[in-house]
Amino acid sequence: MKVVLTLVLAAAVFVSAVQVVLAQHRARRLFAELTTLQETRDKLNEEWGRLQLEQSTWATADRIERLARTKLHMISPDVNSIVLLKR
Amino acid sequence: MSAPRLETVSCSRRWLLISVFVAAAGLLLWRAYYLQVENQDFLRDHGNARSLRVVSIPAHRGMITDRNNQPLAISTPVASIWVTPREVLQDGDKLPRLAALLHMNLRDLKQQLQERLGREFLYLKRRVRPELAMAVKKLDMNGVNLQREYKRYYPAGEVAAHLVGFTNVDDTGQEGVELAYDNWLKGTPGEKRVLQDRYGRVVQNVESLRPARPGRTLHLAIDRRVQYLAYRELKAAVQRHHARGGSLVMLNPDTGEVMAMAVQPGYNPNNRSGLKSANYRNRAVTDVFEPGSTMKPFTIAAALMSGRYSPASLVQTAPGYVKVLNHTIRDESNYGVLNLGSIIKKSSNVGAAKIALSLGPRPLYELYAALGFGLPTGSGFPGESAGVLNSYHNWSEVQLATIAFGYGISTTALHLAQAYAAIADDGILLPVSLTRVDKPPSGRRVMPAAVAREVRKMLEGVVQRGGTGLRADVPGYEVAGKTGTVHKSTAGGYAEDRYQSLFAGMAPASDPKLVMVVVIDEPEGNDYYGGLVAAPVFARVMQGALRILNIPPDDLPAFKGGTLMAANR
Repeated sequence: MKVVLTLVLAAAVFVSAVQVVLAQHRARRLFAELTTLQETRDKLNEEWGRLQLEQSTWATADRIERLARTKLHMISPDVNSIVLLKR
Repeated sequence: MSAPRLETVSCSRRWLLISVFVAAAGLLLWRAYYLQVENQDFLRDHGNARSLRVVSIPAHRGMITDRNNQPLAISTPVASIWVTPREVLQDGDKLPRLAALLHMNLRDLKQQLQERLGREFLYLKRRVRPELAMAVKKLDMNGVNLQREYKRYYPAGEVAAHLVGFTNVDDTGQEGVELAYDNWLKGTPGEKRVLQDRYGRVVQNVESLRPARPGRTLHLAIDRRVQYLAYRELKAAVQRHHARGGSLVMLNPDTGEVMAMAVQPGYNPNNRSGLKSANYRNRAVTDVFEPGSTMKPFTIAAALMSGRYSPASLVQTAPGYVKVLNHTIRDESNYGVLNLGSIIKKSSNVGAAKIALSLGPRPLYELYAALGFGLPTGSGFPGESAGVLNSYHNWSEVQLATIAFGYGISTTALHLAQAYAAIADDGILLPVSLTRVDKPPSGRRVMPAAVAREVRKMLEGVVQRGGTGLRADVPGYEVAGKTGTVHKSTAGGYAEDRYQSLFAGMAPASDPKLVMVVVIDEPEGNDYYGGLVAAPVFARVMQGALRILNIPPDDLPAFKGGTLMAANR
């Protein structure tokens, strides 16, 4: 009886040991994957920040006004040329 | 026979050999036991100490945006180059190329490295462009490493510099909102354990100890377009009048939000080298001044609240001056008998003083104190000044008379704007908010709604024919406001030839959506009246802001083109 119990426990210990190894391996693999995904995310974030910066540089009120006045010859209408629509 | 003899010899020899082997094996076993069991912890720790490293994962700082999510401050990743001087000097033949890439003098670089030979870590250059970092990496020099950091960029540059502030090289807020909301904006760097080889290169990520938590985004209340307008017009006015400085604050009276805050002289937060730190000061919040005539509406409000005056009450201001003890209070000219509206319209010091003297100090003080004068606005801006309002118990007759037209009390531009917002919001004083407000706070009533409306109507007169603030008029809108021209107080009293030109006002007057205060500090030349220096700035900024923010006009007769009734939509 005792022998059987010992054998069963020994087998259980062995199986558990293998599981530990497998779990450790899986954890490492997932962690590596997580790291690459984080790197991708960081790269995308960087690019997003750069693009936002670029956009806000092109869209400064100063530049828009200059282009509107010089290139498109736009003017802001004076009060006499405004017709007000009332609801 | 040799065999038996051999056998006898080999017998003792065998035992000897066997015991030697047993002893050796025992020794080995004991040593193995000693290392594996007795000393296991110590040895494992040392092994790990040589290969496992905890490295920090940088976290970027949160973005600052305006109310429409337009960026005002962004952190972008950059690389910092650090070296181990000893290793770099061993790899000497690549040194000239490194120096060329970094725009450094080769001799200086060598000297710098020699001086710090014993150090393991030395920043060569912080925050370089990503392209440069890649080029340095391609050199593949021993002992040259890259560290990822973040650099703060301010796309709005000088336009919003005083409000947004800036961070130092370690990404900590130094001024402005960057400092006030540092805890909200800053990220918490994470930590991970990695396996490194002999050269410090990361071989494997072992485990994550703490994930990096990036900073949160902060939405300010300002509108970038309005802010630009305010900045441009204020700067132009300060230059035109050769003034020492100026500030402009625009508030939304319904929510207490700061829609724009411009300050001159300015600075570029993206390139601060060689700048005087005095320029960093946000004058709109830190500098106090005597509000002068811009306080008169509150004196009139106190008079109306006392019940002893009505808008039609008349005050005799002839002969244009009044003596209080041995102090003479003067008007620009003799205005004769004025009603309350005309006292504001003509900005009569005599009228305001006489009203204050008849009311006594308490009603005046109570309204001023309710408006929060003498206390900070609670905006949370770093270095905000409280201003000064002395307790009325200590006011002399003269002080009472002069405080009625804004001398002997001091405040900031932001605070004055907040007080005017109370007139604009039918007597409710709202806390000032630098950040976007989604649900307006309830505020506190400081004067009855009827009084606020009366005062507003009187303030409209200032911008009409015969008023002091004609230049603040915005075509298509009713504007209410008050001019102020204040002698600056100096060590020996009030300076005769140094002024502050003020204009405080709101539009559209029928239901104000914007409140603005303009302060020009020490304009030179003959134009120094608030109505000539500050009022035009108010008009131009207000006109643009009303258009940008789509606020419908309320002065319909101004439209000569006429108004059309649109078909029912």
